[in-house]
Amino acid sequence: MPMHSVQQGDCLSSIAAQHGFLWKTLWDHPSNAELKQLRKDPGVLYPGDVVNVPDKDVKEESRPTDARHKFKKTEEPTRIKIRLLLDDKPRVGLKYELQVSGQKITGSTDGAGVLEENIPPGAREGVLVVTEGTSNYIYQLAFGSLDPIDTDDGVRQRLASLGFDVDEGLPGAVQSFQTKEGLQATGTIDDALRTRLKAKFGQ
Amino acid sequence: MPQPIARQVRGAQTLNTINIQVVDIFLQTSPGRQAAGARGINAASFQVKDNTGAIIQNGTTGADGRIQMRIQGGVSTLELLGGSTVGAYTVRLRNAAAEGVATPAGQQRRLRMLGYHIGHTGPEGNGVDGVAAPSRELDRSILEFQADTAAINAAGNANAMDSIAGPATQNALTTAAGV
Repeated sequence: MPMHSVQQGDCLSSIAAQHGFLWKTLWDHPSNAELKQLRKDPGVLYPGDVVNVPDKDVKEESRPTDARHKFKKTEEPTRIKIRLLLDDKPRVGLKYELQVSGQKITGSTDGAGVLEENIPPGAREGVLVVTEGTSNYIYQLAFGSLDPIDTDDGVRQRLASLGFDVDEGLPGAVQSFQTKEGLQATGTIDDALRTRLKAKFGQ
Repeated sequence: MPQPIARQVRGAQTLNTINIQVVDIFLQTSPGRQAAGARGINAASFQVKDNTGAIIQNGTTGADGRIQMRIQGGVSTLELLGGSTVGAYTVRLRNAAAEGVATPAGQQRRLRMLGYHIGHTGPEGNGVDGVAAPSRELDRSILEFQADTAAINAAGNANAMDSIAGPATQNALTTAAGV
């Protein structure tokens, strides 16, 4: 059975699309049970994880010759969902343009400050331009690069995204977050921190 | 550093959050010029840039000189405009609390915020070096601050002009700097 070694930017939907599977087929395959147990979220894998890719079953269909037959390939879109906040409050009705794989997708954020768009499964990067008044906010996006919450990288990424300064070291940023959230300001990454951080970030 | 965004499989309830922190910055004249309540610099134009140089905010101060500055990704730059850029400040969210006002570093940081000249020593090159008196820069700036506060506090609450940061001077520093 071929194996796919996870690189930064991979997640189950991109790997599945690359190998011609639906993500659920891979995720629920017995050979990936251990990975599923470890990561829990198919959207968040860690570089070095291994996804087993089962051999494809051959499906046989009998059709008369000399006729035209239509076969439909099931494909599922990959989605991204981003919530934009200002001082922890939703940025509602903001116009945005998402540039990905040469396409430009425009829209505006909903009442919770959320934007949700389909992207090509193979896309690894994009640019999000958010317009507020006369100002443009430009975000370089790296799809599939969010690391699991139980790694230091995953904690660092989530804190940075919530607006904490991680350049002065992770313990300081953890402490700031704990203080703001009314947790005990230990500067240590523990389960209570992970749970709260996950809730604040959204996964 | 690009922003990591997880893809969502169909039906997932998860999402990615990008938050911008906001801090209050007060643009003021130095303590010796006006009474405490009247130090705000009114109608000053400003803009805020993120670390890519994109302008993410612009506006004009009100009577209190307050700017609700947006800090994108932990650091932004505040530019004061007067036809052209007349001042630029890099504002970084600090994780650590401000140094205590009883320490030399705490006094230096507040004096610098209030516009006093304290030199360019220290790890950040901003004069906050934690070196206690006798230090020429720290002594002189404390004396200047005491003189300024004394001139304003005509009611008799004046600090002794001794260039020593005693309890009364420490209180006055905390009040003036707002931290």
